[in-house]
Amino acid sequence: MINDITSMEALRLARKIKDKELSVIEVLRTQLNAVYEREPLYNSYITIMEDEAYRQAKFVQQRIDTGGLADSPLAGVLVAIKDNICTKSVRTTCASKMLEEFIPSYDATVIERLKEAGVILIGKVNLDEFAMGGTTTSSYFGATKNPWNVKHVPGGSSGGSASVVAAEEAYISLGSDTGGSIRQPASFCGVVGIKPTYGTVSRYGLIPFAPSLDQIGPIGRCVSDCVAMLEVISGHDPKDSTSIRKKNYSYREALVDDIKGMRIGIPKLYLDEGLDDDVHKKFTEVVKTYKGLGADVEFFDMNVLRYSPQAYFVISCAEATSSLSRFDGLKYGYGIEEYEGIQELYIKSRSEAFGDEVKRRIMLGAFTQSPGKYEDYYNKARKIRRLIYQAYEEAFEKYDVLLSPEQIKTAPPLNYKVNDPKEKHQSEMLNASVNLAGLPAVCLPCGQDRNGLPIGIQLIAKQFGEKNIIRAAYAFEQTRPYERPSILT
Amino acid sequence: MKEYELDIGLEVHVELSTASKIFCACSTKFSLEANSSCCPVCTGMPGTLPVLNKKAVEYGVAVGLALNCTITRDTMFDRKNYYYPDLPKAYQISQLYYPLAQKGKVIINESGQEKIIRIHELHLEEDAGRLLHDWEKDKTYIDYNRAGIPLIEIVTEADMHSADEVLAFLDKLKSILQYLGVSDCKMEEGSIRVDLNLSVREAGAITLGTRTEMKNINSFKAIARAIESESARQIEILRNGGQVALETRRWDDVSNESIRMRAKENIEDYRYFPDPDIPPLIISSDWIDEIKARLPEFRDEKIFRFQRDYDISLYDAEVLTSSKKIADIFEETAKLCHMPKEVSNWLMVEGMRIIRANEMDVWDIDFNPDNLAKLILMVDKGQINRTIAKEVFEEIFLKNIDPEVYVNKHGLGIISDDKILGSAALRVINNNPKSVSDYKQGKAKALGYLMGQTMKELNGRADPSLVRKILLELLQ
Amino acid sequence: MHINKDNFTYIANAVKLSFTDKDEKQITKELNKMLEYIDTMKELDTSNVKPLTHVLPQTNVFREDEVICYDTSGQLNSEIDKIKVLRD
Repeated sequence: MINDITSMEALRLARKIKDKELSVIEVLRTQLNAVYEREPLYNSYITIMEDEAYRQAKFVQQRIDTGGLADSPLAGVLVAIKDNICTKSVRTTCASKMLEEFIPSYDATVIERLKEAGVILIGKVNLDEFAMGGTTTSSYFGATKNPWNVKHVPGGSSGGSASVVAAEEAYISLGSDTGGSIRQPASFCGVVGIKPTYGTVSRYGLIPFAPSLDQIGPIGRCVSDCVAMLEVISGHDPKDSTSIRKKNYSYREALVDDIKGMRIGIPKLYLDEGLDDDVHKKFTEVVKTYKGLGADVEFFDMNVLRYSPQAYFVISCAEATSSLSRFDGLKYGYGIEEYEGIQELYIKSRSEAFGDEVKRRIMLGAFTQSPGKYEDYYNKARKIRRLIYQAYEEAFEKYDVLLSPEQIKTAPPLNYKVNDPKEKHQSEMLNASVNLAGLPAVCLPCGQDRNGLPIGIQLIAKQFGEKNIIRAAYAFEQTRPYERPSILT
Repeated sequence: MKEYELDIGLEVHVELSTASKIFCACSTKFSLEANSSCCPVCTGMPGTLPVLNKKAVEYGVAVGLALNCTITRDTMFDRKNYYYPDLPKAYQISQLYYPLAQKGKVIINESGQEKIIRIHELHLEEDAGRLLHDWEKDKTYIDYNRAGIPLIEIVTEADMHSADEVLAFLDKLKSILQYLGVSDCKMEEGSIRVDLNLSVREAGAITLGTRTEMKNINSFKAIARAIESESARQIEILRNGGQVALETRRWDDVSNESIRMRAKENIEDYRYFPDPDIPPLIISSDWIDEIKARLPEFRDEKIFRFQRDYDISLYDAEVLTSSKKIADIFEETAKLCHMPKEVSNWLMVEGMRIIRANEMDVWDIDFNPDNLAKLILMVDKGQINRTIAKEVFEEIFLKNIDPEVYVNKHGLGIISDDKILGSAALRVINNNPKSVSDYKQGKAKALGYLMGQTMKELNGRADPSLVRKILLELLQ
Repeated sequence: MHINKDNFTYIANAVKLSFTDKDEKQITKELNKMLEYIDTMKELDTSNVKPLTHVLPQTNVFREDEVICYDTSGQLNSEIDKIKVLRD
């Protein structure tokens, strides 16, 4: 079932298109065939933008033919977009009944940048409702299945973004990461994901979960593809006050297979308890590989990270409560037709249109800022946030990158209920502290467990230190072949 | 019977006259067409983000300085979360924890006494939309044109004890804001809104009573009525042994009473927290100095200086500074023609008359001082007489015409040719034999009539004293 | 118990959500469990630590006071029937 065209790396595809070996329309047609064939299995797409994609494809082909897009290494590539990123005239649902029919009249800034670079949007992909969750099972449009084993989750909240890339239903996708939502699904689906430094990619048009934590980032089949995409979407945006202005966005310069002397730190607490045996085994091999490549690898204490899940829950839920307030049934989105008085409109519309997980988090968020609780919960969490921020600053004085397993285990089955809160929270412990400190992180595959499910590793750098993690990821990537889900072989 | 004293504090919301809204680039100009000045940001569409208007911050700092406040160096915006249909995001971007300015004061002069009204704090926030009720169809519509207009909220301490003090304060505040040019402060248009916080206590007692908040007061007169009504209501409750409820009330000017809207919210009910979409602000001392340097001379200083520099009375100075526009016109014109007393006379007599007759606002006056200066010089040189000058002045005042052009165009120059004057006088004498004989019989009024007729013949374009002289000569 | 019947009602009303009795019981249980875990934040000494909201050091992000017209595309549903806005 491997299709030579759909399994290609994005950059290679773009080169073939530029060299006239392939036409954009041809590629699109082939890709769409694969999508329609595979969708019944995986349910990754919420909206397939077929007509729109053909229109874009014609236009991009024209631009390429007339010599335009010469400086655009991803021109002609087909990309899937997480459905919490606004696309003009195309419905943007956040996988929620609340926005099932919402069609924005504006593009998110990242979408504008994609279009300018000649990238073609092929569709909007599945996520946990409003990006809240780690399985994509809370989606109003049904769960997405992991291409490696359809009885397992692809992870979340960017489950659709990761699965389409793994299943070769798109070349690259955009996801969003608030507490691990790009990295964890990338790890569960055996693909590469990058969460950039906070402020690198504009959030204008990203329907927010937690504004001080959210970032949009690429998911692809190799580090180079993700880096190319990162270059397209990064940049200062005057419409986003939290976006920064850098002098240099040429991340590709870090695609160098040389990490001799790189100082790699591994926070000990990640290997403490609960780590799956296979994950532990693979991670040990990873450490050996890095040492073999000439890096200085060291374990160290970073205990304040133990409190990152608590701080993350409080801060993200409190911000989410406020972010989701505007969905009131009055202006756009789901609104009940018959009601007596405005209170009923608000309460009924929201109660009917939000899923359980969203409601839970809204309630929790409101609690942490309610009368008498602000100091002990919301302020306490933000103080811990500062301690975490400072701990990372200290760590990066000694190390160039930090390394950890991306998750303590591989993708759980679809109906898996986490009973042990500690287990649930260890996932956040590995990931959320990165968002709390606004740092960049890369996740890439390092093998599979005994059941054939992918295992991933995470590399973290200091703020704006993307080049370090890209280099470390790229070097590691060269030591292993790309592995695709068996269903595609 | 126990006597009670009032303690009144105000929350004043002022719409800033920036060109664009506080967090987006939509125009702030008033429009009758609903939802004609909106964008995804100010209507709270999903995924949109606020970007702060620098001018709004400058205006905020300027007002803070003008009210003698300390400007908060490290300031930021907070989200105030609540539900109301005119609030698109279901939160208002405002400031609670680090407001832009604090601890200021305003000096008012009430019944000859100077008094300090303390400003607790002042902060920036965005305005909400406007609800429009269609009572017939029983529908309510929302107009988001107003959503996102920059507001300054000024909170005073409960330092006012009477309606007069409140009005004196508001008068002073309006003057300061208008002198700064940051708002047109028109209460009827809603660009300045006042909420009253009122409590009563036994005369001589120190602890403040429970206060109520009063909203929907739409004119200065209504303020006085609301204060009277609410203080009477609270006193009655206390006299009967009851307790005043901590609540928000709505003033109804038509029925001259207030009704309870809701229990007063606890500030914690709003779950204020720093807005993560807006980075913090640092107001540097350099920036403050820059803004301070651009502050205008305010009315009090001008009144003092006008009296000193132009040798005019306090009353005159007060009238001439009733708006910065008029004050500037006065000074500019005086500089050009070097006759401040004349300028003052024109503005105070004819100017004020025209304002009253046309129900104008002293802040809407705007004409080129050049034109008034020219007019004054023309009169001084005898090129036109005072009666004509009054007509020309009105044209300048209302339409900003150039007096030289106007006089030439309409042929209003003074006639000084003796021959023309003489022949006109002669005609009048010949046509009014009765008046002539009346005069010869000693009726002085007849001369006045003859003068009037002569001036009419000359289309008013003569020096009345000359006309009188010629008439008298001819009548001999 | 962090969340009991009283503050549950208060919070639900603040965020405009309603629940069946069954759901209320379930969510209360789940939230209390979560809050028990979150309470372990107390173990960390944060005296003299300032809260952190913005992870980047940037300040004073402004736009100039210029007007740009946006073409309002009638996306809003701005009509409300029978609002009794003055009542609680």
